[in-house]
Amino acid sequence: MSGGFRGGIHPHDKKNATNHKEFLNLPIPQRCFIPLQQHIGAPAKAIVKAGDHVEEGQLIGSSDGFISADVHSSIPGRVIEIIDHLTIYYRQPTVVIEAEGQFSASAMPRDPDDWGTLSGSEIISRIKSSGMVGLGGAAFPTSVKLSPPPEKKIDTLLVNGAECEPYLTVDDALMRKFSLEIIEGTRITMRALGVKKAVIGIEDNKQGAINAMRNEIRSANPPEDITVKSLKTRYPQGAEKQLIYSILGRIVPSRGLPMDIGVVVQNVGTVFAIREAVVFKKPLFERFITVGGDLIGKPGNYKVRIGSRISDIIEECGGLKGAPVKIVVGGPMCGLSVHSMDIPVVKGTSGILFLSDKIAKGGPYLPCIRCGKCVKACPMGLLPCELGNAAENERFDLSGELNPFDCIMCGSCSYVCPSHRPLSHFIKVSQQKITGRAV
Amino acid sequence: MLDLIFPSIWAVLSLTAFGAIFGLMLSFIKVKLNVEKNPKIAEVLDCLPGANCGACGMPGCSAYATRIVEEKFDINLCPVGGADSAKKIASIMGVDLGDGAAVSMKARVHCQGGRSLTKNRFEYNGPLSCSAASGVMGGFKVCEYGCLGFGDCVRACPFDAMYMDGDSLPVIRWEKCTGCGFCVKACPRNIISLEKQAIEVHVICRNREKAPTMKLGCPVGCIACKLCEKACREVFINEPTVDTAIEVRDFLARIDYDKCINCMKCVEVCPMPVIHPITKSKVYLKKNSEVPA
Repeated sequence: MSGGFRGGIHPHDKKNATNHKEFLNLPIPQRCFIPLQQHIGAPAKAIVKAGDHVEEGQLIGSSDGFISADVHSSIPGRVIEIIDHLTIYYRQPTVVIEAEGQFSASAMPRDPDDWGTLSGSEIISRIKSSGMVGLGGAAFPTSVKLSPPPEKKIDTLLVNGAECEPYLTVDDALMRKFSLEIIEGTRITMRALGVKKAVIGIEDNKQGAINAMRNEIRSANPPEDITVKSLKTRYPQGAEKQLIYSILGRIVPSRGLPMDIGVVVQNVGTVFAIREAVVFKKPLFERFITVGGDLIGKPGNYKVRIGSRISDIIEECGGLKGAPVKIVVGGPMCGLSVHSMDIPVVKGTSGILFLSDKIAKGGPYLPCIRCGKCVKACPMGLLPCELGNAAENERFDLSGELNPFDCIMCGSCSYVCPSHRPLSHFIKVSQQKITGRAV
Repeated sequence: MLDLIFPSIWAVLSLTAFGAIFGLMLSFIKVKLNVEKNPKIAEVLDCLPGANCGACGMPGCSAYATRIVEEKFDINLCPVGGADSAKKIASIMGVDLGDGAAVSMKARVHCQGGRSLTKNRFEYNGPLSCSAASGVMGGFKVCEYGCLGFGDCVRACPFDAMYMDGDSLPVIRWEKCTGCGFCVKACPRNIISLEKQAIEVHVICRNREKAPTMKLGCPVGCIACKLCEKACREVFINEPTVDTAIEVRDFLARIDYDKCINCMKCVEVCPMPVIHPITKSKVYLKKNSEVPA
């Protein structure tokens, strides 16, 4: 059953360059650019102004609305200005902080209260005040995910360690190095949700991580039912709906959420950060990323402060071996390619890849030849070719009938298309045109 | 004998009989179930241009005509027919056409940064439509306000009144433009607007950045020098109610079409030139006179 979802593709995983690397700390940048929207939902509201002094981990943007997340300062220093700065979501109000003063939050003592004595809602409020979002890439506010409406009965927590994106190895490295912490984080999350069962799903190209997690569960012997499931290596194994089907055989209804079928999925990185938020009361101001691609001098897994710009990172990662043709924030399949080195690392940034023209082939796309490869590859059972043709001809009435909203934006169709058609982009255009959102 | 002449006499007779029966039925139904239709609808429909473009918001001309007659709908909604058809409809419906109603409008393009002039931030390989391109990091051009040149507006035009020129900029065929506004809606950058036909002047730029920032990406944008505003103030110097018709706000000259008198003073002084019709600007004339004939 593992890996039993339909469709999917087998891109070369390219993880060899970084999957044996230990975590290194990147230096703290002199200037941090912290966007107020780093998550899905409403942007946070700035509660500091230019000239204010902020501590490390101090709240600088408070969540505005139910689906929103707090934003904290990554460095101690002075707020220089609040500007519209380039981010991966185009332009966002961004707090610029110049470093000065003492670092305090990095070496926080363990909170004297044992988390075992906390109730579920207390845990969730600690998670909420840490500004936690899903660290796998989509950056959905975690506290919202952990507070399902009472009529939705959650029975299983899935911890997503599939990491099916090529190049990215940050979750792999986390599971090997911090297995105990991840299990503790899983137990905390289970307590917050009130579930008795958790499954950690890991693709079988990460045997080291599977063994590390299994050994740790055996030796720690937690009272809860936590198991590790080895999954077939296939993209998009780590997509929420595909992971649920592979592990539990349950199908998320069209345009529904995992909580509709009693499941909550959290990334291993999120689970690790949840532990830090609950045990140390540490806000989310740093994260682990993979810096990779064929043009970076020292590819590896790094711990980085949120708000560091790409240009700050390059130096410490060995510099560039040539002018990159494409800089991708996130994985190569789902990530966004960016045009500026000024774009800061945000909570949802799982990796930064510097790719040469050998790997990132550009060029115009060609007409659809109706080979059907995209239909075979689509893990959601859609017809990307038809959606693409409809959107290309601006017939959004036709594309609307082909369920564009079931698309998970995994990019498998664009990957297999022999005409190099930007099919997932076409589908995205359809979604935007149909909902009438500003494109 | 009869069989020889008409081998299918029964077929002929039965078909005739069927025809007669159905004909009678239809004429009976016509009389019995007749729907009284206001003759004005047909008259109003004759006044409308019959383009069925939908610019009035109704599915087509006949739907609009029906609503005018039956629901006393606003008669100024047809931009294609414009003042002419509104006048005719007003006389049919016996209503007063009010003041300033149905001024003929034309679409204007507010960008002259073609692909050969402007600089790009990155190479774009996605779907060839402006709305898709503007969704990727705010567009591939350095200028975040300029035309992306994939022709969404041209494809939206139901009257063949637009085309893309050699430099990927939309051009409006003035005589064909009906002012339906479809191009305005299609443009994700808000570069096209509808303005009164009588006034020729318009600013061919939408960039709201300061001149040095704007110049990084485009050599032909508005630099907000305010010469046009000064010239316009002089025109209206003896007018107590009007201060100026052209004003620089957010580093972009904007024309108030309610005040503009089409005097071309702003066009003449514009140093870029970035106010249409640029052929009347002093800079343009000087440049072109230097070129040997």
